[in-house]
Formats: sequence, structure tokens, C-alpha cells
Amino acid sequence: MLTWLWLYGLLTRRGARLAVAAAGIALAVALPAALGVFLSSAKTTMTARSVERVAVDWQVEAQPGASITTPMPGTFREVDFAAFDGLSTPTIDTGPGRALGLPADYADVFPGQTRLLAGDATGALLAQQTAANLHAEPGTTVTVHRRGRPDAEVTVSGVVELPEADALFQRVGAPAGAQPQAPPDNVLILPAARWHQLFDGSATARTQFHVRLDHQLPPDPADAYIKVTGAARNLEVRMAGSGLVGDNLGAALGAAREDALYSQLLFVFLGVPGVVLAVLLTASVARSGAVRRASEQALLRARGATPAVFLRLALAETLIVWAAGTLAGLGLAALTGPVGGWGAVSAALGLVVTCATVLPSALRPGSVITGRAPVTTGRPPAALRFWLDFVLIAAALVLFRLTTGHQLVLVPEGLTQISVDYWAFAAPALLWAGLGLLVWRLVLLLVGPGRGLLARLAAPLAGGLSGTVAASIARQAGPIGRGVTVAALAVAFVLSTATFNATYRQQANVDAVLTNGADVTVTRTTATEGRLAGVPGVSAVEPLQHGFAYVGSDLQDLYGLRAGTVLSAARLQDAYFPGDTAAGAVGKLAARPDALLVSQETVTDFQLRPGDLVRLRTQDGQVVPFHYAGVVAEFPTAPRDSFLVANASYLASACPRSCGSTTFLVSTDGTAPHVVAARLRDRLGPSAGISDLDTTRRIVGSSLTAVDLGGLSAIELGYGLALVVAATGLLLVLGFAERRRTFALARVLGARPRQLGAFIWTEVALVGLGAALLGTAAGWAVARMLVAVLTGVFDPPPDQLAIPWGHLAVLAGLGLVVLPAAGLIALRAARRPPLTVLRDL
Amino acid sequence: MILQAEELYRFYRSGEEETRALRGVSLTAGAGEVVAISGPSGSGKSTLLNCVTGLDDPDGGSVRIAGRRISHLPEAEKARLRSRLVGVLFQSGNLVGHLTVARNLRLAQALGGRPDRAYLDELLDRLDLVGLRDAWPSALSGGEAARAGLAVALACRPALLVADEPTGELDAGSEASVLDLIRDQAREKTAVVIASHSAAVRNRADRVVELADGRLV
Amino acid sequence: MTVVACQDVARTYGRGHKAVVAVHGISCGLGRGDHVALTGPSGSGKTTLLHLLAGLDRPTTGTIAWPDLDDEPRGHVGVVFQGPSLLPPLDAAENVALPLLIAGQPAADARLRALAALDAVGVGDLAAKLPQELSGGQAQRVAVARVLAGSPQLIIADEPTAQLDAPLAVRVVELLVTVAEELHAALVIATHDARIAQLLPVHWRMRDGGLTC
Ligand SMILES: Nc1ncnc2c1ncn2[C@@H]1O[C@H](COP(=O)(O)OP(=O)(O)OP(=O)(O)O)[C@@H](O)[C@H]1O
Ligand SMILES: Nc1ncnc2c1ncn2[C@@H]1O[C@H](COP(=O)(O)OP(=O)(O)OP(=O)(O)O)[C@@H](O)[C@H]1O
Ligand SMILES: [Mg+2]
Ligand SMILES: [Mg+2]
Repeated sequence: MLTWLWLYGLLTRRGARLAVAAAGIALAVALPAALGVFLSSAKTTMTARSVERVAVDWQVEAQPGASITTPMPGTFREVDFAAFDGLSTPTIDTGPGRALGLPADYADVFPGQTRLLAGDATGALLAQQTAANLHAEPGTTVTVHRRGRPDAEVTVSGVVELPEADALFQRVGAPAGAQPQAPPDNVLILPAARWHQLFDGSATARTQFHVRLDHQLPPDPADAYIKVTGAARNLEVRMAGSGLVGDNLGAALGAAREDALYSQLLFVFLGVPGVVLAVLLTASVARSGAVRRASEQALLRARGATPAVFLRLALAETLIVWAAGTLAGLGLAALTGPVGGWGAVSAALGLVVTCATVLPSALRPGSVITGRAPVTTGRPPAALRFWLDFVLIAAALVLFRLTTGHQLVLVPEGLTQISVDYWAFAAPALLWAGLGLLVWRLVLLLVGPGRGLLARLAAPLAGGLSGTVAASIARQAGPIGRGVTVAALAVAFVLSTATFNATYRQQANVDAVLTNGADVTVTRTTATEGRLAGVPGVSAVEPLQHGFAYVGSDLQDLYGLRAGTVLSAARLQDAYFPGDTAAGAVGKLAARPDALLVSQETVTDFQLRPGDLVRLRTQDGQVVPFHYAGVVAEFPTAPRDSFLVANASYLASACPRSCGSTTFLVSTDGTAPHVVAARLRDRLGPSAGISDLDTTRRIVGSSLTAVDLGGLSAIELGYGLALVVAATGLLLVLGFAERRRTFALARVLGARPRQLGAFIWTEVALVGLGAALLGTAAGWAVARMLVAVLTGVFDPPPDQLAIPWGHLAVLAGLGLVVLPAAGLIALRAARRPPLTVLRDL
Repeated sequence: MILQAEELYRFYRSGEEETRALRGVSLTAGAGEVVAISGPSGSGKSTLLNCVTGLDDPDGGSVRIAGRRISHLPEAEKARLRSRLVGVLFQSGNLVGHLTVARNLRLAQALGGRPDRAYLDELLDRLDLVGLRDAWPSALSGGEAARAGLAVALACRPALLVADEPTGELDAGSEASVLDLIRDQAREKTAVVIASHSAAVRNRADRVVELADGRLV
Repeated sequence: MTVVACQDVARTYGRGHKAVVAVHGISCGLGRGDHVALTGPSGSGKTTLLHLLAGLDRPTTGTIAWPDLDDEPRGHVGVVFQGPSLLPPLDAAENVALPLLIAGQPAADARLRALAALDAVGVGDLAAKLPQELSGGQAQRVAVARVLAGSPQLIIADEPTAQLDAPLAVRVVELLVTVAEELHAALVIATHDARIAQLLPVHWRMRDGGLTC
């Protein structure tokens, strides 16, 4: 009865205020729900992509001397392998390689394994590289030099590409961490029957079952990983040593679950501050009715309301605000996808937030006596009296020192579970909180002891009223201080995450460039530089030698570059050359023809010092002397972390035959790389390998560590902007509404709109400038720390922070709209007939 | 004795300054007795009434209502005592803004745990508020708001009525009918304490207590 | 020399069947030097009429003019409101000085006049207190001081003595009369106190929204 009476009144007369509080709750609920939805859908996509990327889920290999009788799960085909000593046409010979026997429908069951480039797939097929070596085409007859048997002849019916050659020729059962085996140079694929004719009984013959599992996997890559690897182990156990499982799908999921964890990490790092902000905002919104609420409470007290009654009334109000806010918030979140379980979690979170924000202000001990509304007194909040701001900032810096360089994602040896080191976030979180408190302190200093200064600053806006304006602001120090702080924190949040995202995107781009080397990369071609340069859309062509050489017993990629021109065509980054710049490193190569850049690992292994002689052995046994000149960590198109970089001219003269082939790095004149790639493909025919940056960026972006931040950042930045709007505009308007009595009285005392404006615009300027300046400074500091903490996410680490100009512009534009709008709304409201306002209080 | 307040002290501190609003004031009121408190502006009348109703704690001294000590009790117990025994009328701002006049009365009755529609109607009638049952507080004139406030204070038939300047904004006619109502309450064993400047109030009180500068004279 | 003149003025609150006619059919005028007491039962429309005279509210029908004030009452009318009317975030002196600052007086002058006005009504020692720290009567006197400090042509006081004891009430009203005489201003005081009404030469009575001059 009591509760209904109260609620009825609130809903009919104070609906607007309840709606505003509900809007705060809606913000608090929408973010985690939307992020949650995004996270689960991202994880599902990651699992699906891993499944897509793998051509063959399992390669189950029979062990020598054994044959597998255990039934295979899913769809499977038998594949036979054997080694041969060489292939030849009447004019050309090539070295050893492997012959595969595939059933006729193999390509239908495992479409990702082979890609027909020329001819048809009915007979013997040559891998692209082998066909190029032999100058063979469909119809060519090739002699197979079998090991320990007479030569045989096959007629080539087609040329294929083997995109997953690494996995196809893997050593099944190799210990974890072993050097991956390079695929054979020459590959011959035969129909199963023909293979059996040629190789049955060969000592090198091996049999594998290629398995495609039913893809009913859990959506989370980590769960899917556990399921798939568990099934693989289970099969091995059932085969009792007769076979081993090469678990390609497990490996892909293993990588994906790390990605998933990174995205979860980002979820935490974006979501938590957002939710904290929403809580602060809602708390400020809830407190903004304090004056009126205090007099209501005083009345209730006088009528004998016990704290339990306050609690009941407050709870009723809370539940209504919560229900409305949660519905609205989930509605917002539903725009990003089906909310489901995340909705429930967020709704629960919303309830906690609502209780934490609405209840205290409803329950604050009602010692107020009516008619004596509280004007804030000068006492600073406890947190500031105990110097908590400096303590937090100091703690953040100490923690930062302690945790930098920590691995963020932990993949413990031998365990299927991986975990995240959430501690690393403590430092930026503390910094953010500490800076927020510091902002609060500064604002309180300005409006309290610094009142004279404030009056002088207000003079241009307020003229003769500046002292009065400063006094009235000083007596509102509490709400204004909180408002500026929340607004500055929101700005800091948006800026730091935008900076992080921009840096992340910059590095993803760098990563793509690193992988592809240039806008378009052309390999396996006999075309000349000039011919490529003639293709429309090409602005520059840079040749790059690529081959292999042994350092000691370790086979490494060897690159030869043209020191004079490479800097302009290949996008070399300073970060590729630890302790040096790109220009510096290339300069070292230019300074000495036989200079060599090697990986840090090689430097350590061989105790190299600059100027030391390094002898490399080519694959055909030739020994070439080089001089060690510097360290290289990354290089365009280099697949592994261990490789060598030398001068192309020196390679051409020292080992013209064996130091590899030429790759061309093609820069475009602004035409989209994939368009130029298509033109090149037309020009050079199917045998040339052509890859472009657009495609690579997509592939890199969807593979390791490259969590697609697009959706995530859209959600979180949109939300951050909403928070900024709310923290500046909404809180200002609410603050003005709270003081509408003051404005109405000033009106009836004869104040003109311009003079009311003095009160309003001074406060708007204070909030706007405070939030912009202090928020930007705090955001910059937090962004720096975040990027440092999250270095693990970046591959390679950034040279510098990317500044999100776009977001800065949006933020500034938003401020230029919202702040004046808040002022104008307040001014308009102050023009309402003042008597109505005065009577209503 | 319904009300026994002994040796009350109350000092306000604002910054460096200290205002000694009460300096050893004692006050009693028996069942059916109407006590008027008068004194110049700022002499401590409102402060005394706030201490008497337990809305404010005195810095020294004690207050008993119906034999039970109310000062310095936990808020919940004070509130329970107030809801059963005390009706309070402030100098201004006695109505909850988001409830109509009648609902303000019903709220008071609900808080006191004594819903009584008949009495509610009687109060509205005697205070000439029938036409304003459903008016919002913001639409009341000064005198109407004062009368509605009194109706709310009386809504639970309190044993002790504490009223601060109930007739300050009333014309002579309304003042007389308000005082008639208060006397009728006293006849039903309510103790009444009224702070007022009005001669009419003083004339119809059983006893007048003079306050000056926080002390009795 | 007419400061304010009403012609057949009515003010209705709300619309439809809920409409309340607070004042109606009022025609009256105030000249310079006129001192009027306005009495009437509670709810008879005194406050409504005063707000209309002060130009704070518009009549529903009829016209009001301020010939002597160039029809711009703002800045020339001093009002003491019924009920609390101090700006909560400003202390007593700042409250009193505010209309002077609004009118463009230099801050230092405004403050001096404010302190003098506070002294005149006997609350000079409370200049630095916030409204929430004042007693009912003290707050009311600060509101009177706010009118005294300016130089209004029309002084309107709505129950300025409701919270004051008799001697103080008389002193405050006499002060208002003195100031009105000095400024040669028109003065209206609404009151229900017969003794206060007697201090003024002219008597207007209201009943059910109608006025008898
Ligand atoms: N905003 C409003 N909406 C509806 N009715 C109103 C409003 N303001 C005043 N009234 C009604 O108009 C009538 C006149 O009110 P007014 O305040 O002018 O009376 P008053 O003579 O000043 O009375 P008092 O002496 O009690 O202050 C009253 O009946 C009141 O209820
Ligand atoms: N919250 C407060 N802080 C500081 N001083 C206060 C506070 N409340 C009251 N005072 C001071 O205490 C003294 C007594 O105030 P009180 O309100 O009790 O007076 P009163 O007798 O009710 O006067 P009035 O008749 O004018 O209402 C006054 O001088 C007043 O300024
Ligand atoms: Mg008082
Ligand atoms: Mg009135």
C-alpha cells in the first residue's frame, strides 16, 4: 500500500528522472551484453575458420610393418606415399621427390588439398614446382626413377598446386617442437591403381588414412580443441601402436584457442572500464536528485519512516529503474546479435549496478531536516584525503615495471588448458583509476581554494557576475567535481582504446606487409623486371633473390636484395632490425658486397661479432663466404624467424645456380593490389605465384593473434562515445535541472538570459575543458601503458603509437555539439515560467 | 507527562563559527495540554522542536516521549516511536511533491500503520481542503499548503503534536478554525507544542514558554 | 505617475473542468508614493495578483501596464516572496547583492549596499551564512533586505512578516515604508495581520479572486 502509493506518485510526477536513471543502467547493461554476444560469435567464427582452413583433419599413418584395422571415424580415404630418386624428360632431370597415390574421388572429399592448374585430374599429376622444373605440361611423358627398381614412364595429365603441402608431407608422430619438415621439391600424384603398380612393396612405401571428421564441434575453439585432440588420442590408443594420428585440425584449433583467449582479453580490457564508467555515471545520475530526495526523506522521517521503510521504497524504485534499464539495454545489445546467456549475465550485472548506485543514495542516513537542503561543504572525499590518487598511480607504475615482458597468454607445456595473465591489466587499471582521482583532486582544487582563479577565468563569460558564479560553482564542488571526473574518465577511455585499436590495426597492416612483402608479390616466373613494370597499375618492381643455405646443419631461407633500391619498394620497418633502422641495416649491406644479416639466434649460436667470416653451404654443396654485418628479426615474405639476408648481386656472382630464384616485389601506383594481381596473373599464366596485400591482409587478419577487432572496436567506441555524451551532456543537464530553483529565482530577480548564461556557460566550459584536457592527458598515459602491456598482441611490436585522428575528430566534434546543446537545453529550461518552477519545489 | 525534555543544548558549527541555538532548555507537555513557544526570530524555537521530535539529536540533555527516551536512539527506533506517537509540522515544505494532498495524508497514515479514510475526510473537511483533495502541492497557496501540512501531521491521531508556526500564513478566520481543531485534539489527550509569534495562538494555549537567545525566560 | 495599472485582469490556472480561476475582474492602479495593504482569506488570490503586478506572470485575460517603467518591469520591481526564496548556493550577502550585480553595479558597491541592507533588518552578522543555516525569520529578513538594497520603483511584499514576531514585523514594515518613501516608489504588502495592515494608508481586500479597492 505504502509502496504502491509512493511508486504511483514517482511514476506519474517524476517519470523523467526515473527514465534518465534507467538510461544509465541501460548503458551499463548494453556494453557487456553486446561484447559478450560479439565474443561468442567471434569464437564460433574462429572455430569455423580453423575447420575451413584445414584440408585434411587427420592424417593417420600406419607404422612400419603394421597395418591399421581399427575403423576410422568420419569420412576417410587411403593415401599412399613412396619416395623416388628423380624424374626426367628427354631434356631435363630433377632430383628426388615423393609419389602419392590418391583414390579417384580424393579431390571431391578433400577439396582443399589439391588445386588443378592445368590439364585434367584423370591421370598422373605433377606439382606446380616440379612441372616448372621439368618444363612439363599435360601430355608430356615423364620418366620416374624408382628407388631400387627399373625406371617407369607416366604421362602427365595435369598440373596441380598443393596449398597444404607442409601438412600433407608432415612427419606424423614427430615430437612436439621438432623442426617442421620441408615438403619435397618434386611431387608426383598418381591414381591409386597406378601407384600400386609402380610402388607396391617399395621399402619407402607408407600408407595414411586421410580423415574428415563430422564437424559437430563446440563453438569455443578451446573446447573444440580439447574434443578433437582427445578423440585423436583415443584413436591412437585404440590402434594400439599400429598407427599414429597427424592432428591437423587439432593444431589449427590450438592456434585458434590462443586467438580466442586474446579476444577474451580484449573483451576484458574494453569491457571492464566501460562497465565501471557506466556504474560511475549511473551513480552520478542517481545522486543528481540528491537535493529533492533529501527533502523527501526528511519528510518521510518526520512521519516515522524507519530505515526499513526507506529500504523498501528504494528497492521498489530500484527494481523499476533496473527493469526498464535492463530491457532497454538488452534491446540495444540485441542489435549486435542474439543476446541469450550474455543477456542474463548482463541483466544480473545491471541489478548489482542498480543496487550499488540507487540504493546508497536512497539510504544515505537521512539526517536532513526539511527546508534545509544540503549544499556541499568544502570537505574533500575520503579517497583524496588519504592521497589515494597518488598511491594508485605509484602502484600502477611499480606493477608496470614488475609485469612488463610477461607473457600474457600462458600455454603450459603438456596441458590442454591455456590461460591469461590478467594481472598484467592491473597496472593500466590502477593508472586509470588513479588518474581519475587526480582529475577529481584538480577540479576540487580549482573550484575550492582556487575560487579566485576560477572567478578570473569566468570573467570573460560572466562579467560582473563572475564572483557570484564562482561562489555558486564552489558550493556545487561535489557534483561538478564528480561530473568532470566521470567525463574525463570517459574521454580517457575512448582515447586509450581508440589509440590501442589504431595501433593494433597499424600493426596488422605491418604484419600483412611483412607476410606479403609488397603490394603484390610474384614468384616462380621467368618474366623479366621490365615485363612486370609494363603492366598497368605497377609503379615499381623490385627483384628479391630467394633460396636456401645451410648455416652449420641448419637449413635457412636466404634472401638477396638490391641495396640501392630496396628501401623504396619493399616496405621495410625499423622494427625488423633490432637495434638498428631499416636504412642503417641496408646501408651495412651496401657498404660491403659479401655482407650478411642473420637472425639473433644465429648470432648467439655461433658467437658472431661484426666482421666475422660466415661460410654458408648451398643445397648443392657449394660453400660461399660472407661477412656478418648485422641482425635481422623480420623480413618481407620470410616465413620463419631464422633466415639470412645478403646482397643480390653477390649471390648472383657467387652462386648463380644454387642461390635460388627471383621473387618480384611489385608496388602499385594506387590501383588496388588485387586488381594489379589479377592483371599480372593474366599476363604471366598459371604457373607464376602471385599474391597481393588485400588477400594477405584478410588471411593474416583471420589467422593467428589477429583477432578481428573491427566489430569489437565499433561496439566499444560507439559505446564510449555514448558514455562521453552522457557524462558531459546528461550530467550537465541533470545538474542544471537540480538547480532549476536557483535559476528560476535568478530570473525573478531580473536576470536576463545572457546573465543566466553566465552561470550555465561557465559550468559548461569548466566541464568541457576539464574533460577534454585532463581526459586527453590521462587517455594518452593509459594508452601508452596499455600498448606496452599488450605488446604480446602485436606482431611485430609497434615503432610508435598510432594516433586515432578520426576518433579524435569525432570526439571533438561531439563535444562541440553536446556541450553547447546541454547549455542551450539548460537555458531553454531556465526560460520556463519561473513561478511554475518555484512552486514545484 | 507525554513530553519531557530536559536541559537541551544544541550548537551548530559552520566552519570556524559556532551558533549556540539552545543553551539548557527544558520543556514538558502533558496529555491534553497546549504549550506555546514564543520568542524572537532566531531564538531557537525550530531547533528545540527538531530535538523534541528526535529529528535532530541535542548535544546535551535528553528527550522522553510517553516515558520513553527518544534522543540518541538508533534511527529505526526513533522512527518507530515517531510513527506511533508524534505528528510533526514544519515551518515550510510539509508535503511530498509527487503526491496529491489526499495521497500525502494516506502516505502518513500508511507510515503510521493506521489507515483511516473516515478520519482523513474529517480532517480535510475541518481544514477546508475538500476541494483540494486531488490538488498537487505545487498548486496550493501558502495558507492552503500550511493547512494541508497540519492535516498530514494529525493524520495518525498522534499523542504529541509538534507544530512550527502553523498559522504564520493564515488569515484570522482560518487561524481560528485551525486553533479550534488543535484544541479538539487536545481534548482527546494529545499533548500539543506550538512555536508561534501569533498572539491568537498564545491566547488559546494553556501555557506559554518564552525563548530568547537559546534560553528560557 | 502610474506605476502599474490593471484593466479587467483575470488569471486562470489549468484548463477544462480542472481550471481554477484564481483572480478575475480586477481593475486597479498604483501610483508613485501609493502604499497599499492587501488582505484577504487564504486562497483568495493575493499571491496571484502580486505576481501579475510584478510582471512575473501574465494574465489570462485583461491587460497590465507599467506606464512609468516604460512597460518593462524587470529590474524596477522588488519582490519579497511568500515562502523560501533565497538562492541555496549563495550566502546571505551574495543573495542580497545579486539583483544589484544583475543590474550592472560594480561588485564592490553591490557588496557594501548588501551589507548595509542586512544590517537594517537586523541580520548583519549573518552575512556569510548559507540559506540552509538560517532560521525561518532570518531567511525572510534576508529576502526583505534584498529588496531594500535595490532601488525599486515598485515594491511588492507577499506576507513578509509571516515568520516574524510582532515588534520585528512592525519594524520590517516600517522599514519598507521608509524606503518606499525615500525612493518615491509604490508599495504593496499582502498580509493577514490586521495590525500590519493598519500601518498602511490604503487597504485593498480580496475575496474569491475579486478585489475591492
Ligand atoms: N499553479 C496553480 N495551479 C492551480 N491552482 C493554483 C495554482 N496556484 C494557485 N492556485 C489556486 O489559486 C487560488 C489562489 O491562490 P493564491 O496563491 O493567489 O492565494 P493567496 O491569496 O495568496 O492565499 P494565501 O494567503 O493562502 O497565500 C488558490 O485556491 C490556489 O489553490
Ligand atoms: N543548520 C544550521 N547551521 C548553522 N546555524 C543554524 C542552523 N540552523 C539554525 N541555525 C541558527 O540557530 C539559531 C536558531 O535557529 P532556529 O531556526 O531554531 O530559530 P527560530 O527560533 O526557529 O527562528 P524563527 O522564528 O526565525 O524561525 C539561529 O541563529 C540560526 O541562524
Ligand atoms: Mg523557526
Ligand atoms: Mg499567498
